[in-house]
Amino acid sequence: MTERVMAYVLMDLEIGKTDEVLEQLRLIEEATVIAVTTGAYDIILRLEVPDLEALYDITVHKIHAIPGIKETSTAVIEKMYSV
Amino acid sequence: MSSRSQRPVSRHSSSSIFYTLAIGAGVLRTASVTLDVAAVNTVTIGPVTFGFMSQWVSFIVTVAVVAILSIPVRRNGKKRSLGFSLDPDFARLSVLPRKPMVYVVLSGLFAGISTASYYILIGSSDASSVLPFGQLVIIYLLIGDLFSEKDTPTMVELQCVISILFGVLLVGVTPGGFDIGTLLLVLGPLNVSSALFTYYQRQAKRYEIRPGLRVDTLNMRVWSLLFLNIVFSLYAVTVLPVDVWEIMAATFEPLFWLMVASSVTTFLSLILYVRALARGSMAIVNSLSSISVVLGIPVTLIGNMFIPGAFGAVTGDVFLWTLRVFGVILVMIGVVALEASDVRSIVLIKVCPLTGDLLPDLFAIKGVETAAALAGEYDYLLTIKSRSLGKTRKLILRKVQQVTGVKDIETLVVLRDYR
Repeated sequence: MTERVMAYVLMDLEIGKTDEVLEQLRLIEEATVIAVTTGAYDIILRLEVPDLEALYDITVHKIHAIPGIKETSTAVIEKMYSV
Repeated sequence: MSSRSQRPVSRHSSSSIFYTLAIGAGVLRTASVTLDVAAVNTVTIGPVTFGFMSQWVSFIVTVAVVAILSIPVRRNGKKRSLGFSLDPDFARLSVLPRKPMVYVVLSGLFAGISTASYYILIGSSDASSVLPFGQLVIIYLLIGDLFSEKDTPTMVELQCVISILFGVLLVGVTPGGFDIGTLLLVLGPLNVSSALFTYYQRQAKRYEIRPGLRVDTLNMRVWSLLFLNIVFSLYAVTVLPVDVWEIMAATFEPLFWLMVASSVTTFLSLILYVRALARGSMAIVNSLSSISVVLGIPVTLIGNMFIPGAFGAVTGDVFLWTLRVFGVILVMIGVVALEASDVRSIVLIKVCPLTGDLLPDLFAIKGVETAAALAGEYDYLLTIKSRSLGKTRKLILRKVQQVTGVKDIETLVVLRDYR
């Protein structure tokens, strides 16, 4: 079994665009969790991809292409514990 | 099991899915219990004899259904099995990995004991009484959650669970009340083994084959049913009448479709139930699925209108019906209050330079569901679940701040999430 890459993408949205952005994000097959939040970021998305090349492809060609996203910050998960 | 890339995020929010799964399991359970009661009341057959025949028919039906659900089909350009819609972790009928298989064997063992108790009960009760008996398991599960959950049940949860529990007991009140034998059976084998069944099913479902991919509920049902049937049969052979084969041969045909219908509804009910267990605590899932108790009343009444007596005796006592209405109200209040009080948060953490690995310390904090070490602007991300923002602040964030090396934290409250 090959190791897969997981990453969180933290997003800042334009006002009033949450639902439209959410609709587009749901179409990304590699998204495993999407959370709409209050605070410094509006949406946090968790991705699971085969490698960093695929992560680049999704962030640049899919996420950055969605109208309404002002800014993103991508954080690759180095290690994770889960219940 | 499907690959991670075949399992896109759901179109519905996590909380909607959780409540749909848990309540849906209860609705289907009503149908399955009603069918069993109708079978025992319409044909002259002992409950254990019926159980023995019905359980093995159920196993054959389940294997056949899961085999059909293993057929791959193409949807939106992706090759997925038919069973993908029931459980996105499912790919085909298969043997489970070793560790979850051990959990499934143990759950099957306890389910066998619980099932034997259940068939003894349905011989003397109607659906609207049998269903509440099973809800006492909530008490055991609540105690289990206190020991096994990382998130201790809160006052709100306790109030809701107790409201639901008293509600279901009032709904199930009968003119004769409990007799000692029934009470011992209910408090002992039926519910203790049912609680252990729930615990081990949950352990199996929560086992991650790899990040994000869990054991599927369809294969879990096949294997747990096999072990359940073995245990139940070991008990049944000691009490079955000597002419059991003649009785089964005579009743098999008239009962066949009732058994198939009961098997399919039980199968679907358990798929939803176990999937709900993967998302929430055991006591909460059982509380929500106890909606079956409320549904037991109309189903018994309507069923008896079509086939008098087949669905159990119905009392005309106004006092008892008043108690039942109070019970329904208590159940509804509990369910609605539970749904309204669930807070999830995401905490982003920055640490001081030269700080070592904080991941184990952060994950050890009660209420932390996921802890991830990150590369980039933030060093750690935690996902937290609690019943109130106050609890998030007092019991969780304060502990995060006390971890040596934590420099800055940013808390984001989740308004809605999709998984």
